[in-house]
Amino acid sequence: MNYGISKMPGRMRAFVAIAIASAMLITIFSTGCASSRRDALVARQVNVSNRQLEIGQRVFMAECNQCHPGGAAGLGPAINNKPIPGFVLRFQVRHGLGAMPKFGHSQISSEALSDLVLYVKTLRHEPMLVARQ
Amino acid sequence: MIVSRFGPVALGLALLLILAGQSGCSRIRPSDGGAQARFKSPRRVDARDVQVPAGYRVQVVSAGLTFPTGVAFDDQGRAYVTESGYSYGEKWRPARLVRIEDDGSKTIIAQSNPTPWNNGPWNGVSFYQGSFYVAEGGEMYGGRILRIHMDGKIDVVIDHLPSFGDHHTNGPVIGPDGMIYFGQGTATNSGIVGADNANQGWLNRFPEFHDIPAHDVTLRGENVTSTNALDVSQAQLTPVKTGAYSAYGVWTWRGEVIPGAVPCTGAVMKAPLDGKGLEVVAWGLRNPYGLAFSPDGQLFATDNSYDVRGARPIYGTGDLLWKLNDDGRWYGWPDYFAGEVVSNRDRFQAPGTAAPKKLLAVDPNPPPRPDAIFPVHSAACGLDFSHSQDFGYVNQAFVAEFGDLAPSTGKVLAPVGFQIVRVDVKTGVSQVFAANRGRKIEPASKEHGRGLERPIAVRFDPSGKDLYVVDFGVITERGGKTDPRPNTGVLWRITRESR
Ligand code: HEC
Repeated sequence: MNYGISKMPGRMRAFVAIAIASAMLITIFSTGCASSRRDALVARQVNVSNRQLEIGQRVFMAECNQCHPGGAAGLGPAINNKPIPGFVLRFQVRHGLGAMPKFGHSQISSEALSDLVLYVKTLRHEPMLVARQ
Repeated sequence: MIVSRFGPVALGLALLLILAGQSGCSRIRPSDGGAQARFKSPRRVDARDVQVPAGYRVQVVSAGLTFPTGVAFDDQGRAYVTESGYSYGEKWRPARLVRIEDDGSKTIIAQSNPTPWNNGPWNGVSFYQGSFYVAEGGEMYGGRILRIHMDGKIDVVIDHLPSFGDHHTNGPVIGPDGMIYFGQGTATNSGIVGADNANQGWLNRFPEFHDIPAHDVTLRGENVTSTNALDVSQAQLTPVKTGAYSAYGVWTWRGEVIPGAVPCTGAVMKAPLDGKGLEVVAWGLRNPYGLAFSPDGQLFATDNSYDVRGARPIYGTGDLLWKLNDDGRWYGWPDYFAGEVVSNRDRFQAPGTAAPKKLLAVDPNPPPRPDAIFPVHSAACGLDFSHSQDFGYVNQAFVAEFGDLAPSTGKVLAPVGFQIVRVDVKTGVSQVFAANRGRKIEPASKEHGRGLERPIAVRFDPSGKDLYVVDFGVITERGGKTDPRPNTGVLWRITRESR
C-alpha cells in the first residue's frame, strides 16, 4: 500500500515526505508503545477565547472527541500528551492512518481544519482548570 | 529535493514504519478499560475524591445500594431510588423502590417481588401527581410501565412491550403535556439477529424475537449467514441465513416489505397516564436510555450506539444526544450513525470484520444529525437539565457516563466514561463536570480510590439547587466474566456553595 504517493505532484510529495519523517520521529521518540504519559488532565475545561478556537472546539466535539475524549486515550490513542506538529495532524485527519477514519473536505473544510488544529494544540497546553478543593 | 533524498522506496518504508509504530501500537496494546480492575469489597466512599468545578461541593447521600438506576423526588422533596434488580453479568435480585431518609438509611416502598421478580431491570423512575412511574425492563415477560403508589401498591400502566432482546424499556418521564414518555431499545445491535444474541441468552429463550419497525420498511434483501447458534450439534452443518427485522434463520429478499407496528423497538413512545393509546414519538433510535425535557419543554434522549459484535458489527460509533421532534420521525437506525450511512467502509468497518451493508431500500426520511456525540463506549445514560441560577449552567444538559465494559464490548486504550459531563446543546460541546481526581479519569475501583464508580442517572431536585447522581456501583471484567457487585451503589449530591 503506497497511498498513491508516486502519483502525487512534486510539492505534495515533499510535503508527504516531511509529514512522514516527522510522524516517524514523533512515533519513535515520544509515543512509544509502552508509555503514554498523560498528565493530570482530569477535568479539562478549555477556555475558547476566540472565534477560531470556538469553531475548532465544535469540530473536535463532532468529529474527534468520540475516539480521543478531551484529547485523551479512548478508542484511539491520546493526542494531548505529545507535541504533534500541525501538518502531521492535518495529514492524520485527511488520510486516517491505521484504524482511524479519514475526513474529506466535505466533512471538515480547510478553514475548519486550521481551527481544529489550533484547538487540538490547546488541549496540550491547557492545564486542569477545575480547582482542587 | 527531499523527495529525491527519500525516494519512493524510502517513502514506502517510512509509511510502513509509521503504520507499524502507530496502528501496530493501538492494535497490539491490550485493552485497558475501566472494568479491568481488581476490586475487594466493601466499597469505600469519600466525596473528597470527586472533583467538580470551583464553588461546587460533593456529598455522599447514601451508600450500599444494589444496582441503582434512577432517582426521583416526592412532593416533599424526599429522594427515592430504583434498585434495578438486574445487572449485566446476569445477576438477579428483586427490583425495589427505596426512599432515602435524611440520615442516608433506606426504607423499602415497593418490590417487584412477588410480581415477576425476574422481569427487571427497573430502569429509571419519575414522580408525578402523587405516584412514581417506573420502567420495568422486561427480560422475561416483556417491558412494562408501572405506577407505584406511596403505599407501595403497583399498577401496570403499559405492558407487553418488545423488550426480550438486547435492550430494555427505559425512562420514563412525564411531559409538560402530562403524558408518559419512555424509551424502548432494539432487539439487536444493528438489525439482524445473530450468534451474539445467543451468547446474551435471549435467543435461546425467544428464538422468534426480532426488531419491529414503527412503519412499513422496504428491505434491500441483505442477509447474513452464520453457523447455527441455536443448535450446537448441527452448528457446522447447517448455515443459517437471517435478514433484517426477521427472526433468526428467516431470510429476506430485495423489495420485501416488513410491516410496521406499535409498540415497536428502537423508539421513544408516549401514552396518557392510563396507558391507553400508545404513540410513537421517534423511531430509528438504538437504545434511547435517558430522557429529559429541557426547561423550554423540548424532549431530549441519550442513545447508545452500535457495537462491534454480531451479524453486522459497526465500528467507532459514539453515543448520541438527540433533541426529539414529537412528529414520529425516523433517526437512522439501523443504516445511519449520526446522519452518516454505515456502509461507508472507511469509517465503520471494524478491522477483521465484513463491511456493514445498507439494509433499507428506502430511508423513511432523511436521517437527522444529533445534538451531541459522546465518546465510543462511554455509555451515556441518564440526563437532566439545569433550570436554576442557584446551580448554574442553566439550560445545559448534565449526562451520566456509565463507562466502558471493555474488553467484552470492545477494546479501549484507556477507561472511557465514568464521569458527569455538561453539554451545551446548542453547540454540541461537552465538558467534564464531575470525575475522580487523579492522572486520568477512571472508576474508583481501578485507581483504588473512593470516588465515583459508574454514574448512571442524574437528576436535579425540585428546587434545582442540587444535582443528584446515581452511581450503579462496581462492575469488573476478568477472564471473560462480567462481575457486578451488589451493595456497591451510591447516591451522591452536588451542590453549589458559592456564586
Ligand atoms: C472512529 C474513531 C476515531 C475518530 C473519529 C478519530 N480518530 Fe484519531 N485515531 C483513532 C485511532 C484508532 C488512532 C490510532 C491509529 C492507529 O495507529 O491505528 C488515531 C490516531 C490519531 C492521531 C495519531 C496519534 C498518534 O499517537 O500517533 C491523531 C493526531 C489523531 N488520531 C487525531 C484525530 C483528530 C484530530 C480527529 C478528528 C478530526 C480524530 N483523530 C478522529 C481513532 C479515531
